[in-house]
Amino acid sequence: MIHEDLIAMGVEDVSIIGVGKDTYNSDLPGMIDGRILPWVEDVEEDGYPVWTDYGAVQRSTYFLDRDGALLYQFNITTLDPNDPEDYYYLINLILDYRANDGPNILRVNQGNPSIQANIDMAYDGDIILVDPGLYQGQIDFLDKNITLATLIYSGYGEEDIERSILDGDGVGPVVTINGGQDQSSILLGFVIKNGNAEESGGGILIEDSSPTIDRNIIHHNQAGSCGGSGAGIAIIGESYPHVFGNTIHDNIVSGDCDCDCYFGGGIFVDTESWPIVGGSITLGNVIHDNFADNGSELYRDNSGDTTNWTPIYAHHNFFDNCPPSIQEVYPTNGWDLVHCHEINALGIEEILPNENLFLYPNYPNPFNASTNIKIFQSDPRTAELFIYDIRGMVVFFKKLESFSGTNIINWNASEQSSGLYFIKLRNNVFSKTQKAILVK
Amino acid sequence: MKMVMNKKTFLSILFLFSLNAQGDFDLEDLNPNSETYGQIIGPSDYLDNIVIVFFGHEY
Repeated sequence: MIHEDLIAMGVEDVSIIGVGKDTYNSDLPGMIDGRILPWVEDVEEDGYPVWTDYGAVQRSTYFLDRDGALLYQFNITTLDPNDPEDYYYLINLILDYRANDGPNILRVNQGNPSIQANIDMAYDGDIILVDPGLYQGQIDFLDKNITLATLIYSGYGEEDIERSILDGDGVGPVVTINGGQDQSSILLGFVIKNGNAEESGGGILIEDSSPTIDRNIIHHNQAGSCGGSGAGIAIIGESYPHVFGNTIHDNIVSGDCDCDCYFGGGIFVDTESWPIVGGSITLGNVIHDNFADNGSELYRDNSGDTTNWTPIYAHHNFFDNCPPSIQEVYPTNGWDLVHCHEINALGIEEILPNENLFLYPNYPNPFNASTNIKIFQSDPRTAELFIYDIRGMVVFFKKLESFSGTNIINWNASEQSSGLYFIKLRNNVFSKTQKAILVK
Repeated sequence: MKMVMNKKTFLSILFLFSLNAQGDFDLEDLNPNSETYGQIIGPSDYLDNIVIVFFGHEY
């Protein structure tokens, strides 16, 4: 069950292989019953080469690092995974070794100023943290699943968003992600501006990739010459990105030709792609004052067969008008805009949850080594905040004397091990729980 | 907790550390519940992951 539980926790970079012996094949059903791990059998006729090579005996267990080198070995005989204490010991042992052999964190700062040079030498899973500053030129994720983030990722605070600027200097897409990335590739917390793509993606070009675009401010980018699309973000090829928490404004698709060929000032999506745009009141994008002849804010290419179209999920986004007009979002049957919000003259309307007690997703998450926990309570009550580790031990507690409205609690987990934690908020009526992941 | 500490102490005697690369192998996955059932697999198929190799023949 440990393998299944790790996957349920989102830990997908730990693999388990069972190795038996063919002479004990009659025992195979018992070894794999209810288990999903790959199971192979070593061959007696060849002299059990795998068992011999490893020096293994019954229940020998070996941890190999990400390059296949031996990290650790022991015999599991003394442990019973059905015993809760042994189970937690084993799962924490695995998570500790995973963390010790985990992603590198690369820093971009005054002494190491090139973002692209860090991407060039990064490996899948690495995290590149960027100090506040102005970074001119183009960024290409190449074929790497990496996180490129401002210091917001490490919990320095959301104010760093507007201080970390990727400036395209009037050339090409500012950020290109076209190497087949999945949602573990993250672009987080930047101002992205002054891109100029001849065709698509002035700010961000996503092609045949599915990254997560999270809490960026994408503005004053341009796309198009004789035709063009997606001045803020262009999503083309077979791409399924998550786009949430971004502000996308004043991006323009235009060109020299007098044609009906300028699409999607804020976001353009072609016929092969299917992003998720927004999703909840804490994940919505703010999209306004972009320009294109067709779909000034959002445009989905409808040149293919739309008979059985599934609208793009785009809940809880903010527009000048709610629902937006057909000039702003096109075509209307291509987008699921349920729960849109209107930007009022004073700025973004404050959306408060229609519940007595609300626990927002902690940010950042995953985090290292502190994270912020935002809570909301409509009526003045005393509330309690607990954080549990995976063993159920309380590692943090805070009593919040009677209050109403919003409150933010910072949790510094520098003394804790990497892994999954549970944040639980309760008052005398309601109880809410969220998951948090500490990555060191 | 005491039991865990005793086990940790006991296990620490058994644990061996090594930095040597471990041998790869290629054998057929026989577990129908596995995503790679019927495929030839080995640790080198899981580079970039932490791989746990468990040896056992009787349950």
